[in-house]
Amino acid sequence: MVDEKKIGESLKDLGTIDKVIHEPARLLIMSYLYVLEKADFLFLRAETDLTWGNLSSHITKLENVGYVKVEKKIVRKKTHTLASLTNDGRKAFEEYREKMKKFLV
Amino acid sequence: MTHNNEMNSVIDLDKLERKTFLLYFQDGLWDLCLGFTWIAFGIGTYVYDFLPNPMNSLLGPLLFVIGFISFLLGKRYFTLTRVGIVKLRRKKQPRIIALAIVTAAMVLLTILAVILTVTGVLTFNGLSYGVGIIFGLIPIVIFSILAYFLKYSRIIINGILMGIGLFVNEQLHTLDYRQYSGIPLIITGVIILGIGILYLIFFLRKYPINGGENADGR
Repeated sequence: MVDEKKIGESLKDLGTIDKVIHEPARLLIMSYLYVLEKADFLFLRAETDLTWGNLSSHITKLENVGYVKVEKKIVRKKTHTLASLTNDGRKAFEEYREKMKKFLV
Repeated sequence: MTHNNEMNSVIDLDKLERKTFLLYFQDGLWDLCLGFTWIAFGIGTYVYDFLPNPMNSLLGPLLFVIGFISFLLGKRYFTLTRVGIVKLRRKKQPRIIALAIVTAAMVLLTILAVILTVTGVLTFNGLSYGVGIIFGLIPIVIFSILAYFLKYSRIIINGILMGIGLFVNEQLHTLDYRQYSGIPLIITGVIILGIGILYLIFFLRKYPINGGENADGR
């Protein structure tokens, strides 16, 4: 028999899912940055298959909520951008992972 | 894997990490460098008796240095400009340190085995295939260990090819066909080089050069 009360509570908890991370492209970016210390835009673009504009927009969103730290350097007269997860970002990703495991068992 | 394909399946974080770790081996430059090195030593061995001293001893190492410098430049200006820069997390460092220690130990053992054999300390009286078998096994063991630590089984093929090259080369000495010495190394080197070229083609298709104004398009 289905425990309706339990399902109801779980559905309420669904609202607490981090929507910034939940978007598929950002989830993939966060996943890569979670397993790495840092990665540049060139790598992230190639691995996520996003356009430069989309990647930049998603990284900016993650940067604005404090999940991603972006460092810019000039290498041979060209801008070189490295992204890494902040401690808050790492913690948020771990929480997101735990919640998703709970909801989708 | 494309973004869509990745999102249609479970995101396996261990696989992502391993994929990234191995990304820098997918450009074929490693195989090209190895193949070129093997060819260089093959040429060095083949022309040893024809060239004047010290050129006969220096040709192989000289070609090797040229190949290795080309490999480093290729990584710097070819791979990094296409793949980008990634820094792995520190928790992976013990594995890399273990890999470096094992590889260094195997290389030292190989050098020791060569020195002991050349100086006659290590002899294989009555075992005509002994030296060839030992020399042939050395690269197979080294590359098997590398494959185990890197979790990258493909490189065992390089070890096997190099092992076959060394074994056949040694047999040419044993069977008194010294004039052909070096040719097995060149042949196996060319095969490894061919593998490298194939991987390079796949790599070029997958990672075209960034045409953006900035290094990272931002």
